[in-house]
Amino acid sequence: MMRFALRSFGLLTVMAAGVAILGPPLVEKRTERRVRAMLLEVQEALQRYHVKEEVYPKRMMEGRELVDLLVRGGHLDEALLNPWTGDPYLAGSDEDWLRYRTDSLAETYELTVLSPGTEEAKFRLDSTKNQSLE
Amino acid sequence: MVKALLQLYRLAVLVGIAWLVRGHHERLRVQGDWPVTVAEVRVFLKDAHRLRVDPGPRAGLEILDASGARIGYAVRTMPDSRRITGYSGPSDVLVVFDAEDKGVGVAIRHSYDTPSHVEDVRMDYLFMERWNGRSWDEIATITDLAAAGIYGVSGATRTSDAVAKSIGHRLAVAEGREGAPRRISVGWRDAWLVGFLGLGGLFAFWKAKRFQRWRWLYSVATIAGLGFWLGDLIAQSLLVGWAESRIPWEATPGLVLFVVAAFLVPWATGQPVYCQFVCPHGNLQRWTMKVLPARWKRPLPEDGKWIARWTPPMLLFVVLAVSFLGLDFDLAGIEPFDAYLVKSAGLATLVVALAGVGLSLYYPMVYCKFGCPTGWLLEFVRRRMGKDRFSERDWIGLALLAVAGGLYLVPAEVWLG
Repeated sequence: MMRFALRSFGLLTVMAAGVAILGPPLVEKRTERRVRAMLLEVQEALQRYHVKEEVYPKRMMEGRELVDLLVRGGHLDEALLNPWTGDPYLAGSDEDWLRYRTDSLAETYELTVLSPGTEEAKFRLDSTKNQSLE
Repeated sequence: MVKALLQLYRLAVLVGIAWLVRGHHERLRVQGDWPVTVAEVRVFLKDAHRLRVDPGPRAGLEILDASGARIGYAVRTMPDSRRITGYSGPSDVLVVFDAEDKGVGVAIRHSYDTPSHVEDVRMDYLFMERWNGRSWDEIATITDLAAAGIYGVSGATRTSDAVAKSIGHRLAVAEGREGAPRRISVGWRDAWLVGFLGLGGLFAFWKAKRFQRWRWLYSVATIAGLGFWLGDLIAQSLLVGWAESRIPWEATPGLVLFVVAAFLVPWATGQPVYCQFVCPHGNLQRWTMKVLPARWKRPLPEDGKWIARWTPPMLLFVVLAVSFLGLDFDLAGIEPFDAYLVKSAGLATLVVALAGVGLSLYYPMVYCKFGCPTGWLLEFVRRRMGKDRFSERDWIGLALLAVAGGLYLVPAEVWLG
């Protein structure tokens, strides 16, 4: 009985080690997929905004502010989720790594997703050089 | 008879796993982030029942009917045509051909372009049907859209032009993929690898004392030459890389022969040539276990051995998950072999290497016995001497194959959300 318990515990420890190895990259990959889906929705909404207003939003914004603007304009569904928290984007959270900026004439856009907690760009989708995520 | 069947089973498990990894990555290469579905194709070929990835130069999808007969072919323009942009971005276009390679329809699957322009193009049936009836070759050679009778959609000229150009570009790129014929190139590294392999084989099979007394020299040579100089150790990162893409038999024939022999020699003869004679890390541990006197050695208790033996299979499950799910994880870090490339070695591989060597001072060959996933695979296929039966190892092999099958068949969304 003692032996069975010892071996079971050992086996569980080995499995836990496997989970510990896989856990962080798995979570990162899940978040990355959500970020990509969110970026595509925001990009499409920005295009709709541009068709209506003939310019892109005129100033730099963080993700929540941009989403709020696009939702209020009817270009984006308010149910859009924050990929870092899984909650509605507009619910507000410190976990917001989406950045928006435009040029002085608001003729171009640049959506950047930063690596959490850094200023390093992880994804970039814009109207000039990086026009797709593929 | 049973022994032969067991050996075939073990080889089949390895080949099966490699085949699933390969199939999965071919599917990813062709399908990318937005896999084409049967429903999309059925709009143009109503008998479409299944899509089969074509790993050839066209890198598209063969369309099969319910009986398995090929009734057409489909390609998507992304990511090859991602640089061809319309008003504000590129579009991913599906192009479907019939069995005679004649176009039967195109559809815009997804677009980064202005939605209203994309919609205008989608709704212009005259434009969208311009490719119908044209052959693959004909479309691939179109350089002047107007001369080919393909005119832009009014109000969405740039978007429609981009759609047209991306179709031509995608097909032309596929034509160019035929590439130059592959030629075998044998270099000095190949010669050294075959030399190490040949000598290892001799030490394994030729037991003459006058020859065996030089084994220590060969052992040192593998550590210095094969390890620190060439850095060509068999590792999961190498095996998975080959399974995911292809075996570079023409570029590094020596290494391919080396790896194939490492698996097939023990499979056919029962002699673990690579693990016992050639592997630099194994040989390094053989030397370190001689450093301390025998009385300092600490034998592992039976339960400890039983538990530790699960480490390599656990690491192999990790390897499968990393490969199938495309996780950002460097497989070189779970083994010590990259540590021999001192300048480029990562921290994880250095830690695994040093820990393995350090522990082997007290527990002889501890990494080989309880830590090495590559060694586990080589031992898995090795022919057993005497009686052989379906053992714990074979069940684990079956479990690995089942996991690979599950990861292959179940869509990534299930695992990754």
